[in-house]
Amino acid sequence: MALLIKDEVPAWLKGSGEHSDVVLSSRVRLARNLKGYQFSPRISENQEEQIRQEVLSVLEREKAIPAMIRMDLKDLKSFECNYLLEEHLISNDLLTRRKSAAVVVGEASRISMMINEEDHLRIQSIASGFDLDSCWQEAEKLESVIGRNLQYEFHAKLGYLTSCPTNTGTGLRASVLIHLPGLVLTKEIQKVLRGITQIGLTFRGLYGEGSEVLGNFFQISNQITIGKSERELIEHLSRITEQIIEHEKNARAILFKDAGHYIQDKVWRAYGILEHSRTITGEEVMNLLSAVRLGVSMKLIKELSVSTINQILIYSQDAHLDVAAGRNLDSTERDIHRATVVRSYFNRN
Amino acid sequence: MKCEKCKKSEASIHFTQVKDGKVVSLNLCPDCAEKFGMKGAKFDSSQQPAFAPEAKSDVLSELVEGKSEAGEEKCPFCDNTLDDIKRTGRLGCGQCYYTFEKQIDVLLRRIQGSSFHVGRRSSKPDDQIYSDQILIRELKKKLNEAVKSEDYEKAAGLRDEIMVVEKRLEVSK
Repeated sequence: MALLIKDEVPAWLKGSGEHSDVVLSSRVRLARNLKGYQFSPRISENQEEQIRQEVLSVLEREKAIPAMIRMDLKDLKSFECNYLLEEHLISNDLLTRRKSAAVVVGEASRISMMINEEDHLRIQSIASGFDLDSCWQEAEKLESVIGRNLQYEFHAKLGYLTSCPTNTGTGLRASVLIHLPGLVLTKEIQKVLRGITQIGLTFRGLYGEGSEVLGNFFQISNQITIGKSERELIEHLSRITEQIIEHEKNARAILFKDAGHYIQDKVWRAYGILEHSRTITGEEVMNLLSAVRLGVSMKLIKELSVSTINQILIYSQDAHLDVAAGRNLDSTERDIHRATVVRSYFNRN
Repeated sequence: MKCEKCKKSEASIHFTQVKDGKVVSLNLCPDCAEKFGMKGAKFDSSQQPAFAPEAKSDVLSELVEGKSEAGEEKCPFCDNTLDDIKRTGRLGCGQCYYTFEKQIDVLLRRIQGSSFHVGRRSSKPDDQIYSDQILIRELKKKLNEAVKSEDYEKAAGLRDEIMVVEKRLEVSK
């Protein structure tokens, strides 16, 4: 755990990559199961242990993930698990299987894999900005290495077999984490969201399925996993994302033209609170950061970079504060710690 | 035409339903039709058009999904039944996909719009050719059945799928 925290900033927070002022990160995950084992609702602990050992030995033998860190969830404290959740390295589902679940993480969290999730393997690649192609290449590379050594459950007609039929076929979920304050403020967002659900895509909040939409961050991903190739699915999501980015940029331009003073006021008030608060909740940080991010992206604020905003977004979250303090903080303490962490980013300049 | 349910008696009730924009049709004998909630089917079948307002609204999906009969069938590898799968929304193992192939095929087409994978294949090329050859045989068998039962929409879909697999086999030779 300590290793991970001392590690450099995850690559996907660096604010690099195309359209990084609107798209925070891109992600591709592949669901795979190993032949000869039952799926998660039926699988025994013995079988899960066998899977874990088989997969880890392949990864070690093939040196498949450079600078790999491996964590068994049973060895971690609950706030340490939540830390991984906040870093998007594990899912809520994996947390319910702490006994036998593990996660392996490569350099700067560019590639990672959950073992014994709903599916035996969930390979994930994540990149900063709008860059689904490189995510696909990274995920495919790791998938191939494992596939050369172990046999996946594969059906000639149905493709890769998964525990849930909503993943069958390619097992692919590609997603972009996108910041859409312009569309929210101009009240265009419902139209956009309704539109994407009609063309085989879906949206969620910052932390995946069932999570709330906070700070105007939306995760948009493919809904369909079979009948189209991985490339087609990714290209479709990319094309639609480009259109959404354009809509968002137009909405921002309209806002600044029609309500410039109002927007500037909103942005600078948010900046002021984040710079000076002494105690603050996670939700408030998220909402204020949304306004400041808009200000940075519109070049109103030159003192902060997109990368800094991304880091505040993740490092001011509950479990990150707990891990930094080395213990489980109570909510009053946590809000004080949070304000201190947020302020530290402002005073660096 | 034989009844699609009992496959014994002559079908005299022809039931058509539009579901999710797709036309599904079913041909039943009066006995089976009554079993599935089409009241009076037995007596008035000669006068009844292909319409049964009293029928349970999802009678077709029940039949297609096999809820009524296949519920007891067990997967030989994990013991899962179709009811288990419906309850949990999860398959018990890879073998479940073969055991309940028909029902899963229908389900995938309903929720995902397709049950035909065209993406990346298993990285072991030898397995690949083998499974594609089996697949093409199965698809051709289904195509013959579809042509025989004059389901030309289904036949056209199957023909497209066969072409994809044939092309794949050609490339891998």
